[in-house]
Amino acid sequence: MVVTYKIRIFVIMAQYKTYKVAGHLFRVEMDVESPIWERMEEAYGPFEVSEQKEDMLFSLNISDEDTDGNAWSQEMQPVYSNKGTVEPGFIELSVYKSPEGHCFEFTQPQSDTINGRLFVTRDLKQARMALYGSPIQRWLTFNTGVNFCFLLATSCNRTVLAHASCVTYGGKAYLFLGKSGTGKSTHSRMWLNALEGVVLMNDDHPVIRISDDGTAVAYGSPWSGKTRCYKNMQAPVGGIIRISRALHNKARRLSPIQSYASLMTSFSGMTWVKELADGRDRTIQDIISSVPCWVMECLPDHDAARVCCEAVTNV
Amino acid sequence: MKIIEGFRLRDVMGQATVIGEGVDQVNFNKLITLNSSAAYLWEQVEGKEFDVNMLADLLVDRYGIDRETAEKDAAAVAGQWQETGLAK
Repeated sequence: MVVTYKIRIFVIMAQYKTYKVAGHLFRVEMDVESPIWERMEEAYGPFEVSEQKEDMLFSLNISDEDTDGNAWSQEMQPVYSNKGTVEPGFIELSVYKSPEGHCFEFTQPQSDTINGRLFVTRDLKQARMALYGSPIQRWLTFNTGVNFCFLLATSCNRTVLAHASCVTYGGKAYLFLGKSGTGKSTHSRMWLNALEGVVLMNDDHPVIRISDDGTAVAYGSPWSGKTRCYKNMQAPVGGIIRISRALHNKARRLSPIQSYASLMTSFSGMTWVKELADGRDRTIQDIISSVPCWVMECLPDHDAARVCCEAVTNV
Repeated sequence: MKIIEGFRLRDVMGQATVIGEGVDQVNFNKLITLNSSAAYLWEQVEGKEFDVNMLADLLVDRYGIDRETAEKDAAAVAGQWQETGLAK
């Protein structure tokens, strides 16, 4: 009699999950024990999919320490740094390039404490990131890292990550642009309070993607700033409105060049890399050729929402 | 003089427009539109060292205008580029 012993050894160390944002699939891989998985649940959970495809937009591999130190030491050339210009509470960024790809180092202002390092291959499809510091710092840096990977990998795929607050109304999405502190979120809130049927889609980084038929469609994302609004929803873009503080409420339609200037400043990207700049340029022109853009000179009041809504929905 | 690295000439909805896309233009939040002759000059001298004489030569060759007018126009274009920080 033959007895067969079947021995199964489970060595589970890393796990990955797949997410779909604006129709783009990406994968995050890290230690199954990492506390980041739990923190991801709220913001990324709504975007998790079981769908598996070989061709991901990008794959990001996270390690809690720099196990692959070579990625940073090889012929690194400094490209950009905002050190010394960042206010406390924000993360400083330094960008380097190597023959293999792009390296990003995240540091705390006024100190040389490194919070994380992100390496992205030249084709923008493979990324790995090392995280340092306290659990909350690791989480914040991780979140920024995924955001960067998405921004870079979508640049040439008719997609932009907009710095905007976005609401839906009457089946269309309206995006409010403006520098931090101008009142994008406040204006969204005025729409929510003053008008019927308004839904907040995302309060910091909605995505705009040009669909195959040329329509600009807005999508929710896992990146919503201080507001916990991580809706997996989409709507064709009805208007893009730059918020400008004033002592009156008045909406003004922008010319194509003015529209381009308005969108350009709110769609960040690594434009010093020509292919990425070309990608952003194409997406902006696709958007402005079909979506009306405006500047809304306004007060932070309910009347501002009514005046704005009336102008942008009656095109 | 030379066009500063990072500025790119693009066709924005049919209008020749210079956009600051380089590392040094991260905070250059302006767009500069060019008329067709300025855009032509830009394309010819981008990435090269040039002077007003060279620009004037280009205008004479391309548009067949007289030397004096070409020099005046070339000086005006070069002056504008320097003033707006596109060339130095």
